[in-house]
Amino acid sequence: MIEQIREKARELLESGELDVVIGYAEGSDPTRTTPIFCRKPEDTDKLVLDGRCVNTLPAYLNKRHEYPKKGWKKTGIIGKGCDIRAITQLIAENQLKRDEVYIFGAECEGVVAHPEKWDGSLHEGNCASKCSACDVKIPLDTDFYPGEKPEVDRSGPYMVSAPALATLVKMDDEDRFAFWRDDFDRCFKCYACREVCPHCSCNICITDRTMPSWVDQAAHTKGVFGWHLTRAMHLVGRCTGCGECTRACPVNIQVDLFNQKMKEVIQESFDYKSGYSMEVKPPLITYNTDDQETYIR
Amino acid sequence: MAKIGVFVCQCGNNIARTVDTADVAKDASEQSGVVFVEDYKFMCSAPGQEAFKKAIRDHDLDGCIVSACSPKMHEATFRNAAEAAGLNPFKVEIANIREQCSWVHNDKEIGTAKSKDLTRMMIQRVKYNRPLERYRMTMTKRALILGGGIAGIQAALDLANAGTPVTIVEKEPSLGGNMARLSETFPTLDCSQCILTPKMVEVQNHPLITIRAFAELEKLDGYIGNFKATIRQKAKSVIDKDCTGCGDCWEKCPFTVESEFDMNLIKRKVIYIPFPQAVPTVPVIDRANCPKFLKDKCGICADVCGPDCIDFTQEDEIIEEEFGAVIVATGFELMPNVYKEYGGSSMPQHLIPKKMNKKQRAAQPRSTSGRLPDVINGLEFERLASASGPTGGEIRRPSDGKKPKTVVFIACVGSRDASKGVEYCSKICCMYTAKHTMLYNHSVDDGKAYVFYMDIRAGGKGYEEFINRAQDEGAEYIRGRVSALRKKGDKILVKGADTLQGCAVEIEADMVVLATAMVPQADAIDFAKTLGISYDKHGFYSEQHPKLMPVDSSTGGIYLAGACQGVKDVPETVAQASAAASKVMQLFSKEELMREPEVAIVDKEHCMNCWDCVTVCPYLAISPEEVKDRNGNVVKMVANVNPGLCQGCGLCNTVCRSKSIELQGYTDQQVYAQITAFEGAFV
Ligand SMILES: Cc1cc2nc3c(=O)[nH]c(=O)nc-3n(C[C@H](O)[C@H](O)[C@H](O)COP(=O)(O)OP(=O)(O)OC[C@H]3O[C@@H](n4cnc5c(N)ncnc54)[C@H](O)[C@@H]3O)c2cc1C
Ligand code: SF4
Ligand code: SF4
Ligand code: SF4
Repeated sequence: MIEQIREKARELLESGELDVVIGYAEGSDPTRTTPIFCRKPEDTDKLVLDGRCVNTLPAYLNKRHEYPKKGWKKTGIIGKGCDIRAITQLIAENQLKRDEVYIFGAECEGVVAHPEKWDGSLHEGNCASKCSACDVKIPLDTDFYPGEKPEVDRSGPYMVSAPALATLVKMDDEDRFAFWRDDFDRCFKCYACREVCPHCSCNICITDRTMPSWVDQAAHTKGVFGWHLTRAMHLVGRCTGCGECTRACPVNIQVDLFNQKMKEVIQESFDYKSGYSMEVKPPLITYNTDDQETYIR
Repeated sequence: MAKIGVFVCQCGNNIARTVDTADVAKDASEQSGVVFVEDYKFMCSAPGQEAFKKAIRDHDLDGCIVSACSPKMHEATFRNAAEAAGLNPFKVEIANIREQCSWVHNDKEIGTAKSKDLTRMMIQRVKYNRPLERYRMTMTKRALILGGGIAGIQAALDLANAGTPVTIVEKEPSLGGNMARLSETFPTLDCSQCILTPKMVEVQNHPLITIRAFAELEKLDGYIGNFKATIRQKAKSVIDKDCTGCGDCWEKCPFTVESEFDMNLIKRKVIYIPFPQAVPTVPVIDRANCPKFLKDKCGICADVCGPDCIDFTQEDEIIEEEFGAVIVATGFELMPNVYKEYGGSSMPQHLIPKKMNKKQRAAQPRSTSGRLPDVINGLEFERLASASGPTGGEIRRPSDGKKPKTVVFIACVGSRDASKGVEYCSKICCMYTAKHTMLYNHSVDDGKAYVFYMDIRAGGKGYEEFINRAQDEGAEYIRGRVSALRKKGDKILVKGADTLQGCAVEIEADMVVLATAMVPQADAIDFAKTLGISYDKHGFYSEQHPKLMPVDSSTGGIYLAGACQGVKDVPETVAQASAAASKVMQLFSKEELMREPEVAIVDKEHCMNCWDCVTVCPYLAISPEEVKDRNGNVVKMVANVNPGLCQGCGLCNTVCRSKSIELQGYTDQQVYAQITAFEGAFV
């Protein structure tokens, strides 16, 4: 599988059709892979694709980063199903044009929850929870797919995957608040969760705005709650569920629980699943003159 | 350091009764940056304003708070005064301590505490107010009038006589609207067409008026002073400019269909003008019913037309024109008879499918009123009573042409009935029903007219007298409702109640006339969306303020006239049309248009071109703009606000995650400062 991708990537780099191919290569130790930007055809020999490839590479396609500004006309990218969902959403949100990317996709068997849990193979004990309810193991939209791509029914609702969420929603308000207060106590606002997110696309994040400072910048209870609730609200109807925020957090806060809950709400209220269509706009930014609410007419 | 002045108004006793204004002033004087305070009886009075100006000059103030009534009342007053004293008007803010304070609290202590809060909040806010300049814009001094009923006609004449070029867009082949259908008009009983048609002719001959009959507005872009209208001139199949209106074509045309103008009571030709005095006198071919178009047969009209102006290949023409103001005068229609008990169809007319099977068709009412042919509505009666109508003004019933000896008129059909019709009172029905009884009594000497009514509402000049006259002339008024109409031989059995006598009544009538409710045009809501104006739950267009701005729509530069805004008779329609015209004249009387600067602006450095604001803006004021480097290469795209279109609603502010778009005069900093100054704020 990876051989076919390597071969195709080399061919496209050689012909000059692609300026770069973003993928994964062996990392600093055998449990890890690292993102690689293949600029030369021979770089493609380094490409790997297996259960250790956790990073959501489309974050690099986000205009907020320097890479899209390098003047590359067409970027190749190797994507797991969930990554391609992120690409689709970026296109829907006007952060990327479909013809600016060339998508290499392959069937995905799932990825490890955290590189630390890698023991040479992928199994129930170390697989990321997002993979258990995944309907894009066969990816959605690809330019290159090794072999024949089978049809998959993806009409079902978005499935909540984090086991913690079920417990959390059953708690009463006080307990739930206590849960978060304790967890947030560890947050020191490194913003790793923001930096890995493929959808945090602002050139300047609202938490970095100082005139006025809507979100308190200190890492105390109020400042941390302020940040996380804002982050959650800014991703409503946009988060594509890659779970990278939770994986990236150095102090193990399950920040994507918010996003999963909001996905459920959006699904119920607007019948919308982010990352499945390049055309349909996220519900929170649509304006419709037929809106039932009279205050806006 | 800021130099802020605070002016606390007592509003006579209006504020002072429940707010200790001296205490509010004292508290304000202790706030940092406040260098002047005043506690005064009437700030808005001439001496009050003088004191305000003097303080600005003497203390070189760079910000002012007037703690007084709602900014809706006197914000403009004090902003203008500040401007006169040399302070940028947008450095003046109002703290509303009357409507939001003294008028809603009885406890003076609470009222005073809240007034202090509101004043303090404004003091902090004004420190971040930037001086703003109003936008100046040019405008196109031409008016577009939509609808050529009496409202549109009157507005057009008023404007054109004042020197403003006007275009009337009318969807039917002729001007005139519903008034052209009326026989005689209350309260004077003068002939409707005799007073209407001279005006139509005047419109036709006016050098400043362009009539676009048989045309529709497709799209309206732009904003006050600078609208761009896209008008579809439907194909008449007749070349306007060559047509002399001789009538040879419609006389010779061998095919007929029911005449909409005559409420389907008689037939008209397939090439037609709706009525003899039509303006313009140019006929149109009803392509849906013309065999030339259906099966390429006939074509007689083309053979007989002297100037050779029949053109079967003519296509719809799309015209784009610019206007500075728009008057909407699209009128009303009558609610269809949807009452089974009155022989109506249970389905509203506009929901009846266009293509019907035989059974459906058989179930349809013959006329607009119902399945019982001699149950008709008010407009049908007008046609029967009209000298130019199907019966030449003799009242004969539709089924067999007999003169009806007994006629029952039923008022309030559908009106004042929230459950089965509309909640409002259609207002004109009492009057036209009285008129109908008179017209009937004048036409059928030995006839008897009965009127079933709920209440008689005749509040107008000469209106009550008119009702009395109708009763004197023999109409019998029965207070009560009719429960059912039944066919009985060739008569209609009217079963009703007389609530004054407390008994049931049965009348065998030859004809029944229903005063059905006056409702907006079936497409009124869609049309409102095309125009971008607001409407009420029925589809009548909403005025800006029910008392003080009765002809302004919710959108700047668009004005309302006539029955499209609410039920009206002709005198009221004409008055409103003239008022709308005068609003347009007022707008056009200035050289340039001044727009308030409270519009959105984009932080182009940080905008990440997600176009969320573009999607959400209800006024389509935001569009993508290219940012170019020195060599003219596009480096990025950003959002750009057209200040002419922006209405300052602030929706874009709420969707922009990166806070890259702000409302001038309502910046985040101003609002934030205001909130943090509130004692109870969680900050
Ligand atoms: C039975 C009856 C009897 C009446 N008798 C009297 C009376 O005796 N005295 C009196 O004072 N009043 C009377 N009235 C009321 C009177 O008819 C109205 O007040 C008057 O016609 C309102 O005029 P208008 O111009 O607002 O609307 P309309 O007369 O309805 O004219 C609207 C015009 O706009 C056109 N139009 C609609 N939509 C569009 C569009 N989208 N684009 C372009 N054109 C469009 C229509 O074709 C029409 O020509 C009576 C009403 C009824 C129903
Ligand atoms: S990654 Fe973790 S520690 Fe860093 S800001 Fe996010 S939640 Fe806080
Ligand atoms: S919402 Fe904000 S970031 Fe997005 S296009 Fe508008 S101004 Fe720019
Ligand atoms: S303030 Fe309202 S009208 Fe103005 S640009 Fe923003 S969304 Fe549009």
